[in-house]
Amino acid sequence: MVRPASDHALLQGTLAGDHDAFAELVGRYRNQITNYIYRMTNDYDGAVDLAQETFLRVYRAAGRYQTTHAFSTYIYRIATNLAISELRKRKRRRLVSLTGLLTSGEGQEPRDFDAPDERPLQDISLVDSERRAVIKRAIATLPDKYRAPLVLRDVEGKSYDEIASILQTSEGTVKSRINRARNFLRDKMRNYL
Amino acid sequence: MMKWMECRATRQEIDERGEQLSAQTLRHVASCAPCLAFQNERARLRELLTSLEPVAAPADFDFRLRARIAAQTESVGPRSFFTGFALSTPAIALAAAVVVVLGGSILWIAQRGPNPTPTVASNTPQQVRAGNSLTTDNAAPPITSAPDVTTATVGLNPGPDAPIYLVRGGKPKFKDRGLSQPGRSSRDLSAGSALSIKQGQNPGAVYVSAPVKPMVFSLQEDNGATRRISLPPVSFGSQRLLESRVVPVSSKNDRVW
Repeated sequence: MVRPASDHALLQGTLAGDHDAFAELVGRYRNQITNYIYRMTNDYDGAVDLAQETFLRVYRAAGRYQTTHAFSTYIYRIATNLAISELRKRKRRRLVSLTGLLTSGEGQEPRDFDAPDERPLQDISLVDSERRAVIKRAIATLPDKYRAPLVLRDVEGKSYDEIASILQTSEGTVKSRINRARNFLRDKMRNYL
Repeated sequence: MMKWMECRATRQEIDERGEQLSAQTLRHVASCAPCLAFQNERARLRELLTSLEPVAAPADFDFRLRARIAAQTESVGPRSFFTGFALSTPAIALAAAVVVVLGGSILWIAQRGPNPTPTVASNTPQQVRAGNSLTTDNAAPPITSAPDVTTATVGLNPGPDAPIYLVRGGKPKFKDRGLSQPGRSSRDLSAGSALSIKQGQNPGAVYVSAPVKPMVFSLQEDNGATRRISLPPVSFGSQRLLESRVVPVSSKNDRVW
């Protein structure tokens, strides 16, 4: 039985000009990265584009990759940076930020204009799709710094340690942000809990 | 108080560990309704989040990625060592350091003030033929704009041919100006002693014989300011400089000439 090559070995092969090694690496991570960026940005086409940009950067910077971190941490970090950069670009494109207007004071988290969904539940056949839409909308309204750790933990299933490495912050900060993000979501999805 | 702290620790563990709780936490949850509600709420929230179906990359993902890599490789090409270095952080830091050092040097040179070192004359043959002039200014070439005017820089020991003299406070004062520049014809006036300085009884005055060509006096003050006075050409015939008298040049600081 042939043992699959490690991510590091595939990246070394990529660096040596082995296109198959890079294709294997892309095959391992393309769905994960696309899904992660999609959950961050809530835009499928944009997510695919950013996922490709992620792999493009991995390819270009293959020579600078340091094996002190897991490759998955490395590629998720690139994807996170691209996703957050995209979210910031979107914010700048808005003429007036309702979120900014509702900020109650310095140091406090901005309150979102998207009020909790108090409508009665629809027919049972529509509940699932409605529920998914609410979850996606609730995630999309999370502040950037809460969104990434929450998606990494509750959607991608990463450990706190790995999330801390990806976001380049402490594990305590990660836990705190995830807790706040969940409280935020709880308020948004009251009818579904 | 104790119960509140216990509830807090329990909820923190529920938040971090999900289903895998310690025995102590499980006991607390069994006996605490709010913590049980919190546990159920978090479990439901986790269930909702994991219920989102994962999206997959499109079928042509690899093909499009290869096309992008190929396009970039063609447009960019291999980066040379020097290009890579020029765009690197150390190179940018080095360039910034060079700029700072150069800027500091220029500033230091600019702030050094007048240079009291002895000087060398800078007379071209044509200028000597044309006339005489005096300059002690180191700020700008004083005579070049005027035809038939000689630029002469007087040193500490002007030679016997030095036509111009500068006296301030009763003592001769000489100023450096563009010395010994390559390709420039010059006469070294510091080789000999100044013979023609004539001071009157007034220590603030000097007497100059009337020259036959236009003459410019540039007098420099201690604070670096320069005053300039231009005298018209004179002849030894009918025209005499300022009513045929030897002109006392005052160095009083009244800025009126």
